Amino acid sequence: MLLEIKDLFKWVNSGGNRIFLLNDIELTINEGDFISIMGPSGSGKTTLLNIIGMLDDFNEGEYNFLNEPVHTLKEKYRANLYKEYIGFVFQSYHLIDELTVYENIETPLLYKNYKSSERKSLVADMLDRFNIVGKKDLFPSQLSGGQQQIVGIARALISNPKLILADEPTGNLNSKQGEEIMNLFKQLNNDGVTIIQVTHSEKNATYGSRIINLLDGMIV
Amino acid sequence: MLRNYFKIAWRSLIKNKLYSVINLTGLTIGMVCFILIALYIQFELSYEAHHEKADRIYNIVQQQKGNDYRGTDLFAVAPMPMRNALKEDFQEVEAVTNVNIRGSLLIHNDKSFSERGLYTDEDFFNVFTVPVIEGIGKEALKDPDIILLTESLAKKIFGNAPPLNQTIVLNSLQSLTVKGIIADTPKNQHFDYDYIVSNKLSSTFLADENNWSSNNYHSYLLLSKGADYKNLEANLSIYDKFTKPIYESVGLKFFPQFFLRPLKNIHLYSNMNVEMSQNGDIKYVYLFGLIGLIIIVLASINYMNLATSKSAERAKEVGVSKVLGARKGHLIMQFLGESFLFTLFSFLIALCLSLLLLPAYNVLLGKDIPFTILGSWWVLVGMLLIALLLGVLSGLYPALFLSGVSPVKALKGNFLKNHKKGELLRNSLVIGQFVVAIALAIGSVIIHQQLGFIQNKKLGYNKDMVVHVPYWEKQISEKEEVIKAELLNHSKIDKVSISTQIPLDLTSQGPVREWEGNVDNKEMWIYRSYVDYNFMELFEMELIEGRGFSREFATDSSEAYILNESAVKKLGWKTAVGKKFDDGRVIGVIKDFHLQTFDFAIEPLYMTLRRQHFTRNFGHVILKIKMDDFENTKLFIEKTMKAVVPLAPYEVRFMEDSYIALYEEERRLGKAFNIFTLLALFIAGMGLFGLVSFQVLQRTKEIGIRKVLGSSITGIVTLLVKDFLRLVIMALLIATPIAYYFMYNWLQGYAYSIDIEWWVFVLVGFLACGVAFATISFQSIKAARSNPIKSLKTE
Repeated sequence: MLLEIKDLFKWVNSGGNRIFLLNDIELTINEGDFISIMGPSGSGKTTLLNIIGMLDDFNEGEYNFLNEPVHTLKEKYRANLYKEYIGFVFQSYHLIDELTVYENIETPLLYKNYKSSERKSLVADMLDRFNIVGKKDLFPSQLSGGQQQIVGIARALISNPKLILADEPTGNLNSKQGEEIMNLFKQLNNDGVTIIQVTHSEKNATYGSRIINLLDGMIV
Repeated sequence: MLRNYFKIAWRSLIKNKLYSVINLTGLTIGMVCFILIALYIQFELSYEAHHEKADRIYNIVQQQKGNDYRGTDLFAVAPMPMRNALKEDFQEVEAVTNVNIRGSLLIHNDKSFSERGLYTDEDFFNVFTVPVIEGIGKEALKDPDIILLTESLAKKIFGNAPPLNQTIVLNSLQSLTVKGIIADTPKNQHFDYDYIVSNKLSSTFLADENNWSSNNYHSYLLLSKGADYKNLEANLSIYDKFTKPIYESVGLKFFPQFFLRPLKNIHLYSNMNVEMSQNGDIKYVYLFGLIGLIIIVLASINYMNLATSKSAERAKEVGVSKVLGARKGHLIMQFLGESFLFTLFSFLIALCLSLLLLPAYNVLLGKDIPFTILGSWWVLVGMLLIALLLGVLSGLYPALFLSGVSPVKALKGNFLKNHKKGELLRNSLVIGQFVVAIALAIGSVIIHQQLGFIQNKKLGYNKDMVVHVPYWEKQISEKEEVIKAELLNHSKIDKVSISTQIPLDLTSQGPVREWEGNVDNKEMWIYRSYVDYNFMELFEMELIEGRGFSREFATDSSEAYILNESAVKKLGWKTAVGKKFDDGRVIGVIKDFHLQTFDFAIEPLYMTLRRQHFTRNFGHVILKIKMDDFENTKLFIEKTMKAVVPLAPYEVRFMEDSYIALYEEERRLGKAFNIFTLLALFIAGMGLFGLVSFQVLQRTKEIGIRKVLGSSITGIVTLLVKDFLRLVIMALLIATPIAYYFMYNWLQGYAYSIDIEWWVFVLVGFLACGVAFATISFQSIKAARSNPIKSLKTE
């Protein structure tokens, strides 16, 4: 078991009313899973993903990640936890515009104080693995959307995470590029990486092993 | 890691060219001003520091309580016999030197040079540090036949020929041998000279040597190590026994009380009568220091504002970095690093610019400030530290602000909302900037007005088209009539007068004891002007009673006096003509005119024809001319005077120029003040630019919605401009009383000054609003014209 969520609630107060963003979520995810979270706009998909990624708080409930009780951990430990085990992939890639492909992939290692020689070999491996060695000195603005997303995935994978969280990773791509990315995810999953993706597309959801449907903050 | 930060910093610098240029310009201008002002201050504070024993050198000065000469009873001179007396009476006195500087004529091989000579004794080299470049120094002063030349004068006279052992004739009297070459006088010394000779050559030496009332010399003493000058000062009253009887014997009610003035305090901390040169003023040092500080603070506020506003655009990068594992510390480091890089870069540019601008700056201030930053490493390190401190201070707010934003918000790009605290801070900073800039602008307008007022004020006489030729040769007075007749032959010369002083700086003053109605035998101190028959007519001075001097009255040349209004008023007379005054009678009363600069009020004055011998040794040939063909007229004057009295170089000066020269210091500082003010306004304008960009960015969505709902571009611009003009007007309201207070006090320093007028504040207000409006509209129009779909899509 990778993570476990029990009786989780998240709400906001608006004009005296309590509006539930997530309502009594129960979820268990095992290592090697490939989960697709689906649901209409405003159903709480991204919120759930952010909570799993420990970027966002919740109001009530339990969240255990690798048997660590996230809900009781201090901010700093939580940050260490997600830095160690979780990689993020975004719909709009979120590459740093001022850095080249190489440097973007390298950045997470810098924050983890890897030595220069280690960084070089890790980044070189990653460039090889995704076949983007020739593009390593280009800036994000010089790449197509699909290529940018590949860099985004490479960057997420560089620190060897157990879990990849992808928020509509193909949302900004055309169908051919999208297919490529999804195949990439499938392959990563086969290599043993746990993946949770948020998606609107039925087709993309079928790449996963399990589908979780959300409606008004509840799993249906 | 560090390299990565710098890489990002550098690339974002390059990517946002406009922003970088604006930000860099502001910071660099600020630093250039700061460096230049620091150099000025350092220079002013460095006076006399080159004298190795400067801390032990004291200037003997005196107070004559009851003698109010040109506004102060302090005199920077001492009697000559004090030198030997001090050396004998006080063990702690190591050396005493008497110094006098006078302009005289040097002749070598028929070429003549009018130069400033230092007349002194052997102790001069014991007290002061003067490097000898060639030949002898100290020993030379024992021998009155020797002259020491400064390096540049030697070059001027002899060119590249060896100057040692050459002969020079002084004042057409003594033949002297050049025995030594000394270094030029540093500009940061309170007296300067072109050559040094023994004071035995001075015409008054024999008379002065044992005379306790001879105040012809400036005296400096060297105290032994560890001695307290206050002790010595307290004992100086033992010399009252010499001075008091002499002053009493000529009927003076006051006598000198001596005290000591530390050498290093002379330039900035005192302004007595008969100083060696125009002293500076610590007031100006403080003023400029304040302006320098203000400008550097303005520049850093600017940087903060611009960096914060820019940071909004970098929110995404911050969010990504955080998600990728950057801690708060990482981000603070990164933004501080950027700020460091920026300030360092700007500091280097500022250094180069200051070096390039220094010559022009020196011309502006009339100084000779060296670029000492590279000379002494600690100044450079100090400046570098200031630059780094600036980097921390100005980078701190953006660093803390950005690193504290939560990654989810940063990625969504809406973290700017509800940032009220930051807004208040930024608004206060901009108001602060404008308060300072507006106050400076008001100040500079008023300074400009006052200086203009001085230059155009009715002086009580007409100085237009008047030129004067100063002279120190008594032969000129002897051949007065010939010179006048020759000069008047020229068609462009209307009037000629040969008189002792010109009205710009009448300094001769003395007591008068006899006048009609002086029953208590009182004594009145009065200014004296020794003139000829043509003086009043030439200057178009206005008589209000009686008549001017005339050859038709034989007695005029021996006993006629003309008083000014102030004198008549002080004497308490209703009418003056015919009344007894001093050794003669009053024949007329003249309308008050200014005797000196406007710093001094008009005081009582009498005019009389030149009759005593001492009034004829020097003076001015004064001419009223026609302006056309001035160059030829000038040549004619010089040629004519040379034909009558050869040798002396004659310099034709415009009264107007001499007049302006009196206000040189103020004029120069005024100009510098204007320039620094303009720069401050410019920097403040850029600060506003930063704030507006930030606000516009924050309100992008609002602007988009308004446009979709049908608002026009003008409507949106008005919306944005309104808010900011409010800030500027608030700044104006705060700045007005502050500026009024300071300028009112400044004007009090002048005996005659302008009134501060309300329109100055209105004018500056409009100017500030104009600058603000220009900056704001640039950004606002850009925002208002953008496509609303774009701005709405980001949400």
